Amino acid sequence: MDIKQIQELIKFVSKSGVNEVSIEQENFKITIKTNQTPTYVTASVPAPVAAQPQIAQQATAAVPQAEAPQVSAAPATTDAAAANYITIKSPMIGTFYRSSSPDKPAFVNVGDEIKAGQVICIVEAMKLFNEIEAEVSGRVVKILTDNASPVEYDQPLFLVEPI
Amino acid sequence: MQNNTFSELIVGRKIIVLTKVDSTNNYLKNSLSKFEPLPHGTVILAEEQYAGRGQMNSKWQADPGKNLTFSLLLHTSDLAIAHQFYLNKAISIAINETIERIIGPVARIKWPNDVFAADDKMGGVLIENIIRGNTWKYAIIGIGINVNQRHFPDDIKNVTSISRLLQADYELPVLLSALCRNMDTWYGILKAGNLQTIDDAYRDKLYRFNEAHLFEAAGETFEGRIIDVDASGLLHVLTVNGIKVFNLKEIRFKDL
Repeated sequence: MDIKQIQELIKFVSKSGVNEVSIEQENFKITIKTNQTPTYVTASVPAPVAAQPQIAQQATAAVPQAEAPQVSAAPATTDAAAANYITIKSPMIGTFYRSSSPDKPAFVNVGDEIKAGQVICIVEAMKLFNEIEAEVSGRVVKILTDNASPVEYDQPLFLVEPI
Repeated sequence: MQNNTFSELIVGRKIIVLTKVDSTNNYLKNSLSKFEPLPHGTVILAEEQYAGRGQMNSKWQADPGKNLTFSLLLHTSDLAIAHQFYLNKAISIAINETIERIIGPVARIKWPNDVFAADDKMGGVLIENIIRGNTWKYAIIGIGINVNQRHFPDDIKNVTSISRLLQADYELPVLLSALCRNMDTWYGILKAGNLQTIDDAYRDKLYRFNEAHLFEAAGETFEGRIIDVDASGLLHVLTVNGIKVFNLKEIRFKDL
């Protein structure tokens, strides 16, 4: 996570009305606390995305009880951040390739910034080679399919964090 | 570079001739990412492709200037991605019709899209598509046909050319013009959604269709008959154990 993302996160947290957010990734942990008066948060918890347990980020919302003045933390594990990611899916049945040929570098790697329209992989079906372009600009968070493995229609291929 | 046109057709309405290029498919792909897209139906013709790709040793064996190697750009956003294999069928049929008029009924389509004359390969097709979301933006159709090359390296078996069969050279521009006309017709049939017409014509010219032949799959040799190539391109073979369905790399034609 770079400075820009942290700044955006702080802005997001301060606007959201929650007073503490913790995010933990593989080698990274950040907790953002605000001084504002706790407000009641009705958190809708999206269903966890089973395929991406590694990037599950924990958002802990401090939820004050109306009667009790003291703040009692009610941790709610959500995949709120993952829900903001965009999943790029396979438009067809075929074989997934991360580069144009075995001796060429991968089109994209985890952490790469991609632009809408950029070729990110090839799905080959019956000698028809389909270059798949990104629909959005963003950062590749995770590659969900191994090189040269078969893919189904609509199978998630990439998780992209829009920027 | 020169520009010619076959005016009343979409396919070949713009023809760009390059003397030398790595591959005409790459040239089109690069043009799409850099400039305003070339028009629907543009043909890129190369007198020499030094990195042209084909199935055979992954390099197309082409003597400079003797064979026809070109790529066709189609804007396909009005076609369904699910119909991709029908484009492959339509193009294969158009090539077969063109070749058949020159060399006679030995012209065949070898599944999925090789250009065959009897048991010999005369050319091939490499289709690359550009997809964004659920939109099939472009199809880039690379075609290579052996025309006036009569000698091939000894290690390449089952290969032939138009001039080998005719024992005379054939004019490349005449061949290109006929190919554009036929591809225009068959692309029109695809756009009109006449899939049955395409299925019937493809099956009718399919190499070893409904003939008893030996195949090899999963390390075993067996006899079977090709009875269909379905909408997604899978090969259906009737064997003593019933109908079996194969993907491209799962089956090999024996005695070839």
